[in-house]
Amino acid sequence: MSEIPRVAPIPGPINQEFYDGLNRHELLLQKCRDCGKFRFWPIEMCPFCNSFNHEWARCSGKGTAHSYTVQHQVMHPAYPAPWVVLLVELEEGPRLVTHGLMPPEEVEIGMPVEIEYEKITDEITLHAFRKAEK
Amino acid sequence: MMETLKDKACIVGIGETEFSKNSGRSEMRLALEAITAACEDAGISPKEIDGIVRFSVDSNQIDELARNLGLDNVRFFPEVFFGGGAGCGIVQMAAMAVALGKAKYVACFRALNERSGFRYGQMGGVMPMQGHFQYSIPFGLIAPGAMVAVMGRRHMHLYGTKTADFGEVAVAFRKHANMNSKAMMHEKALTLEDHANARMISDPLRLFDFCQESDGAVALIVTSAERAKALKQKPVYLMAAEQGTGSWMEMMTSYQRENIADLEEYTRLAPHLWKEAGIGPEDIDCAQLYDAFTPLIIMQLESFGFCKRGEGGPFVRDGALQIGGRLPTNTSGGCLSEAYIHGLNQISEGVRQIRGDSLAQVPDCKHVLVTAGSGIPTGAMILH
Ligand SMILES: [Zn+2]
Repeated sequence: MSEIPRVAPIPGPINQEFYDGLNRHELLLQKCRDCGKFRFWPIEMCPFCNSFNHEWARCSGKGTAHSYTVQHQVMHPAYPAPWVVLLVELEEGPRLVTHGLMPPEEVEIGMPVEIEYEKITDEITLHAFRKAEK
Repeated sequence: MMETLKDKACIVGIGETEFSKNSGRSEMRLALEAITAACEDAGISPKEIDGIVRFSVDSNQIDELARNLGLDNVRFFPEVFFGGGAGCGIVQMAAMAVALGKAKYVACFRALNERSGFRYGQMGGVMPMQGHFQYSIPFGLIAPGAMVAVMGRRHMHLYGTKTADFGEVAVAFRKHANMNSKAMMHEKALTLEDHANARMISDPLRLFDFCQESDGAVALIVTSAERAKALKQKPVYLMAAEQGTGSWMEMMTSYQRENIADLEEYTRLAPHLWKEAGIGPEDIDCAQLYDAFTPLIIMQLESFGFCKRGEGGPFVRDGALQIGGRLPTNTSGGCLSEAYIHGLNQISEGVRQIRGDSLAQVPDCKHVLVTAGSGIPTGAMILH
């Protein structure tokens, strides 16, 4: 952990399982018990079939870079530049904004990526993604 | 019973403060200056205002505005949320109210010390991470411009759009600002080379892909078409007005939708807008499109059917958005080069174009398309 902590989310009832999962190094997403579709971010109802029934299902942690940006202007001291932000499309369907653990010059749309975990505070661990090993 | 708003309401007065980096006065003072200026422009007394529509994010509340203006019977006072997305929505609310006789003269306004006070670009460091931004900001996607950069990069990937196309947008609007003495960038020239060589902020977006940060206020007076005929100014009719959202809508980061390079909130409202107006994109003489960041212009042109999906880059080339081009756009400089008054300054410029007294007047301007904020629940309207 750096001296200046990164911005930490404040978990609530709707997403406690998501953050508890990350603390255990598991990526859990809501999965509808009726239509079987995954969704992100955590919300009350399945937007596909309007069911309230869901489980927290473990994802593979694999996906592809759907888009990205490299932040060159420092907007917060805990995020040094250049800082890679990826939009990852998970194998399960949903997309996550995440920290890209690769040099900016290696980022490419379509590149396969895999999950890593970054401890931000004693309570919060966040996902990050690196290039997938072949 | 005609179920349409077409030509039932008019914008009859516009009022603006100066646009600056530090107004030196309160947001309430700015709002009151703009509202009273709009009344004077319309030729009515501020005491005749009986409706006020505000942005939810505006700090000025209806009761305090009414106390200051000495209004003792405000009959209509809704508000519209979603930052700059409220811009056209507040006018639509006002128009529906005057068309149904729920108010006679409705003031619409936005007043903000966005540069000297709370800066949206800096929001990441200060917002409590409880809402949906907790899924972006903690990962280093902190500012709205970076959130749009992710969409712009995808547009480049899918369609071959070039950063020089973003430059065309910035240069066109700067040229218009150079004609507008009120514009914050009035005296600063900008070339495609300047754009290409500028400091990288959020790849692929460079300095001139970002809007201004501004202090100031703009107000509009809306009344019925009948009352408008008796007033001082040439009435500017609301030919159509719509609000809209898209799939997986969330403020600035609607990244779950199938195509994140499609501003669906415009794509889905556009057919309703054209239908109500009874015209199409080919009939638009001038556009005032919300331009917080340059890629949003290219995507909007596609959403409203000025070109096919993916062809926004080629569309803007060769000065197409400049006066004399095929779609003169943001003729006062827009958010990029005039001021960031959450797009209300673009509505007042649309009114000037129809009146015929813009500082960058489009000859024989009959129809103007105006849009509100992008990447959020939004709105659009056609003035004539
Ligand atoms: Zn379902």
